[in-house]
Amino acid sequence: MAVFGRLNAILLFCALAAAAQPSPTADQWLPEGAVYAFRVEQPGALLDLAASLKIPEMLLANPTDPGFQRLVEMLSKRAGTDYTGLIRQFTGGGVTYVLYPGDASVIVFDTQNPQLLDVLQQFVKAVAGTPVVSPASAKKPSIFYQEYPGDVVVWSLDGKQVFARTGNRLILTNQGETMKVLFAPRAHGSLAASPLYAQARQAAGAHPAAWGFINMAMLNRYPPAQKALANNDLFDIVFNGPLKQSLRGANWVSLGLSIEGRKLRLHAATDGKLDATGFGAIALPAEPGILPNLSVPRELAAATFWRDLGQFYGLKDTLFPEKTSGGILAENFLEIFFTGRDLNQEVFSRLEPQVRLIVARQQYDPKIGTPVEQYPAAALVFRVKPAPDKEDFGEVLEEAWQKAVGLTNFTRGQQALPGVLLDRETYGGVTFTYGAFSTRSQKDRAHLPSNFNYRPAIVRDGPYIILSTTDGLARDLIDAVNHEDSRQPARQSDTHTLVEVNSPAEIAALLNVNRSGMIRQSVLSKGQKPEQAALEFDRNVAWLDKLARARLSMTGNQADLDLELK
Amino acid sequence: MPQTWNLALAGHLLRRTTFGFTSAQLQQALADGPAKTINRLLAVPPDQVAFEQSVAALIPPEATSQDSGQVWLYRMRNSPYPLLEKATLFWYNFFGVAGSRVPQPGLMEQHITLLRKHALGRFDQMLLAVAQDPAALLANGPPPLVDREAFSGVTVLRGEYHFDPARHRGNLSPEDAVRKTLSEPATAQTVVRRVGRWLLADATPPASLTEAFAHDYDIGKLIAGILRSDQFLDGYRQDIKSPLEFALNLAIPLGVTLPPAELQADLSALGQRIPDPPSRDGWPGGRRWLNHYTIVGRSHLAADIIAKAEHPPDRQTLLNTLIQNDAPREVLQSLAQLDGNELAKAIANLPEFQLS
Repeated sequence: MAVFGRLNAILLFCALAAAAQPSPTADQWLPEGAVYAFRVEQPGALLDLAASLKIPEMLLANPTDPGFQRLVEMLSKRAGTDYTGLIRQFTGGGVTYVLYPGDASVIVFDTQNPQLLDVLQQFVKAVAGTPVVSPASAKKPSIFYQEYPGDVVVWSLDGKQVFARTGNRLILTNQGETMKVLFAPRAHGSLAASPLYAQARQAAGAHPAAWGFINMAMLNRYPPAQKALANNDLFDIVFNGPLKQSLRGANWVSLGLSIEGRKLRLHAATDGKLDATGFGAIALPAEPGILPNLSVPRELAAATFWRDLGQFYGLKDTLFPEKTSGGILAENFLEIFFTGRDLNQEVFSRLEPQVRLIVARQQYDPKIGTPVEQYPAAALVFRVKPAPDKEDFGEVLEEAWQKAVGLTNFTRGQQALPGVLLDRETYGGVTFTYGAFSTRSQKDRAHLPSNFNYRPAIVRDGPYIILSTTDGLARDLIDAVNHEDSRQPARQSDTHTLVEVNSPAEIAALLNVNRSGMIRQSVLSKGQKPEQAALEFDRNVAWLDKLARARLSMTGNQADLDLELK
Repeated sequence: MPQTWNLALAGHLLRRTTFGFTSAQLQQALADGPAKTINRLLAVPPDQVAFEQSVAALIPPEATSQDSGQVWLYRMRNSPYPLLEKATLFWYNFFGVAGSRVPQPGLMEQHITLLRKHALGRFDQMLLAVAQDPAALLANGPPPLVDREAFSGVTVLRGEYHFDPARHRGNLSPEDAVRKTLSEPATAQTVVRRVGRWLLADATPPASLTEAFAHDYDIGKLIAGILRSDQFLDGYRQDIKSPLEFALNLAIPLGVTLPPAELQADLSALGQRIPDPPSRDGWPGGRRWLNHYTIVGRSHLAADIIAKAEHPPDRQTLLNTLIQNDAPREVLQSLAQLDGNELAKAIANLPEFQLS
């Protein structure tokens, strides 16, 4: 309660002083020094979109906080509007969320209807004035309510979250000390006037519906953020390395959200640059640019990356200055798989600098059966450069693949688990190799073990190499690459990463098949109750159902995420 | 129980028979007295069936031993029938089947389920079931107590149990081997001594209980007899909590939900990987739970658990529930200025809380 005592004096002084000033926007009023900020500048547009997608109905169907819902119902009734009308009036002038160092957060609601805040204020005043009657709850009083001259009211119902109302504005902080700072005389400027924030705002576009600012100059000095942006392993370096390098050298990140009909576009930009001698050397696109994503039936997602693996391997000592035992082991293994070849010149440099990933839902052969837990199939597609020495590099890769399958069989055998049997098949004029588990001892074909999700395959089809977790996806990809080869699609020269989800309905279908398994995983990993995990799962699937298509493309220091909604 | 029933004794009874208790459960035990409380602990609660149904959905179709351990930790934290889970853990430790020695999916789950089925039932039936349980045979061969020579006809291949008397002349069937084992007086003595070690710490169970057990092998009756005996109170704070007891004794009163996967990893770091005892003799327990490393580890684990408590009980409730307000006067005085999570952390590091 000491905080509230100090607040009294400060607010009394400042509220009177502030009352005479013209009302600034929230970011002009809030102090500088934010770690990140998020502003909804066109709440009406976002609410229209949410209403057309029936999102309020979805949230109301399973309220996570019944107490909060009762408060909303009461306020709606007193304000003479419904739930959506209440939100519209409450947020009509914009919403601003800011996080300052020390986990101090501030949310500012600029309402359209001050009478709504009157209703809320009267309600809180009534609650604060209610005497405590239950002995069980006779603790130290944590309710605080105080009206100040100059139209400022401050209250707290739990002694932790502190609210302030001034005119059309409702301010919520998670710490009493923060509220004190907000109303104290300022030695420094406002958030809107700070240079990094202003640059990020400009990068977000002229009229975004909402936009976010991340102060990377500050975050890059914060050890957990440094850890998150450090490169961890090979996979992380190849796929996330360019993005992480941009962020490590950035002062700000800007995220602008715009709405065009039923399309949402999130445009991310940063002042961080890719270093052409580091990750840029492997990820900055060069001619001829990347081919578009491949498309297969039952596709869940497709991604393509401009990554020059030969350059990457050449730079490995620079990128990995510390040699780890894991890295040395991996290198030794690779050399064994490729029979002592030079991994840079004779392996990775033989591949075109484009890696494509395709993930698809499986169609199980009724003659084999269906696993209880269904995993998606995934495949990597590479193109081999024309070899100067006429060597068939595909054959080298297939030999390495067979060694890897053999090693996996061997280690599974050590655990008394079955291995795959290798076979060959001709499809679309291409003979390829795959491995399959025997079903001989399986009695219940409708409930096969999860290893039946895997039938690893390798395909060599002209310049294409396909490494797939299933022979079914390998066949679909033979069709896809043959189609691509025949029509020679246009390449994009500036994009280094392109991820597309064209059928979220397939993802939802797969999730629903595995519903019980995923709920179980949630319970065991998060400690939730089964019914709670089920509710969360169903809500996530319902969100997915609102999405028609998603596309993420990244260039040197910009990224665009386009969401097409149903 | 000759001593006057009070908060400390109610806490002692609940500590030995459950994985943790709330303030309401402690007050209920205090109000009900020992006899009624013991009866309630042994009786199947009305919501047990619904709980079993909800847990059944958590078991993966090809549960690895790690999966089984996590589901079991979920049970221990949430079961309405804690004595059943505690007895299951006791028998698990008794037979000492390590999950790491049972790589085949599903077998550990089957083993734990088998132990739970018989944990408060008949020992002879449990011994026969364990003697034919693939996980037990894979990990350890014939179970402890059972005549290993008589059982040499047992072979295990990839999780499938085979016993072919025709090919193993002179050997006994599992039924005969178990019958022969049970006829030895040492069998009942060993079981009663080990159950006594669980519930009484260093005290010895009354001889009459061993005699009765040798006739009916009724585990529930044996446990009830020990809990009602005069010796039960002699074990007050005479044992050291296992890491599992330490964690749940803190989490349950504070209303903290621990993710089982995270708890499993935390307990492993403190020497109690569930379900993976170090040898067929189980975890040695007692003083071996504590060393320079685990003392610090327990303190860190306690801090993590307490940090998750959203609404810590008031000061007196914390003192009552965690140590039943039973500590030397100077210790209680040193806690006088603390409240909330800081008080909980201080209590968790007291010897009085580390003891069971």
